[in-house]
Amino acid sequence: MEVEISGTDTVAVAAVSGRIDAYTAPDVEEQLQAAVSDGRHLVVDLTATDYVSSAGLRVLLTLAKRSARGDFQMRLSGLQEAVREVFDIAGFSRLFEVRDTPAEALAELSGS
Amino acid sequence: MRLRLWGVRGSIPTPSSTEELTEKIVHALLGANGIDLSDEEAVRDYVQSLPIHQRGVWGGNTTCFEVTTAAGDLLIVDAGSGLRALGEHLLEGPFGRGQGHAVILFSHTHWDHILGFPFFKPLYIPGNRFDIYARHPDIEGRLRYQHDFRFFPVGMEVMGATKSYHDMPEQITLFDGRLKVTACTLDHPGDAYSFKFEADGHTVIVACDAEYRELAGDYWQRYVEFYRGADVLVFDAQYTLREVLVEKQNWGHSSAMIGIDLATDADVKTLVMVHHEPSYGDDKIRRIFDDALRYLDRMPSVVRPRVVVGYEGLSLEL
Repeated sequence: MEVEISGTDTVAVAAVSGRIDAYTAPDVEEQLQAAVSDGRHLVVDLTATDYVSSAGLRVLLTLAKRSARGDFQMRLSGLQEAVREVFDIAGFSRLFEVRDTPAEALAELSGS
Repeated sequence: MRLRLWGVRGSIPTPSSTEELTEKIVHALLGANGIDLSDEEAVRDYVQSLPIHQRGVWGGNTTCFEVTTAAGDLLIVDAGSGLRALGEHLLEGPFGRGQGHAVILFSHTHWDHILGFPFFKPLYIPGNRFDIYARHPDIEGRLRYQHDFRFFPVGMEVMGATKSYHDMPEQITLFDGRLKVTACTLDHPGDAYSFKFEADGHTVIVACDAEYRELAGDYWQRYVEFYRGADVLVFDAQYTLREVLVEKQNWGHSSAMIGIDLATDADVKTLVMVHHEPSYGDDKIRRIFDDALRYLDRMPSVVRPRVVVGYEGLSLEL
């Protein structure tokens, strides 16, 4: 699992590759929290994420709850079919703003 | 060792409604194409071929499990309403003659786990002996409280069987060493305990009621190690993952998806989902577990547990 942070002055784009499970979730959460610590909005790019377990969903939910409190805006992007199905099974799809590509999400948040 | 489920419903006994039973009959008849409905044997064969939740019910009784060793030692986990039916069953043997002995072990004393105790007929038959264990303090006082005349018409003094109360240590061997029991604290309001039963070369773990507040790190690993290698893990799957993490946080229960993650990480062979949500009908419980199986299919793991929906009467021989 790797998290690569890029983006702009106002939006962090976190590209997560590999699995987000019980063994990688703490590291993913630490890096995503760090990415928004300077007040930037957040795009989580899951294009290269091939598996998300309940632990991974919990990490994203934790950030979404912060986002709902108004700390920052958050978008998910690039969900593979297998990952999207896990979101659907868990009933999580409607809890997140999901965009097809990170570029689309970045453009949207850059304008906000 | 044998595990038999007598109560699999969470929180409160949940009888099936007429509407639900009517729907099952309608669906069964609609699916009976080609069956000669005047041939009783053919009809019985057809009905028997239907899934358990269509020809019957997962079950509305609250938590009660029976663990039996190959030598015939009997241990009962929790005294939910399922205990009443177990009592009727036991009356056919030595317990009906006042010659039975069993251990009753309590995971905790929330009412859905104790309300069957006053209805357990073997307790009223002199000569039967029960050793009653709990990790919580004063289990006798807690059970006696339930028999107070304000809540139940007869006091515990009417129960003629011999009852001995014990504080359950973290680990104990019972029945002259034939059954080892190890306890593990579970996150649940007021605490609950998981029990690992080891006998006859096999391991069965019962783990309800439980919420898993962290799904990673040392917290997670503690449970993975406790559950590691179990032949059977009986798991609290009352809620959906969304309910656990969003809508019913701190209510003390878990989900099928978390159970699958834990069982996979711990190399559990068979995962049995229990403590079904009382407001969910049998079809919805089936759909939740179908979703859980889809989740399991998406896992990259090579070795996956067998996943079973727990129902009243399910018996697993090890």
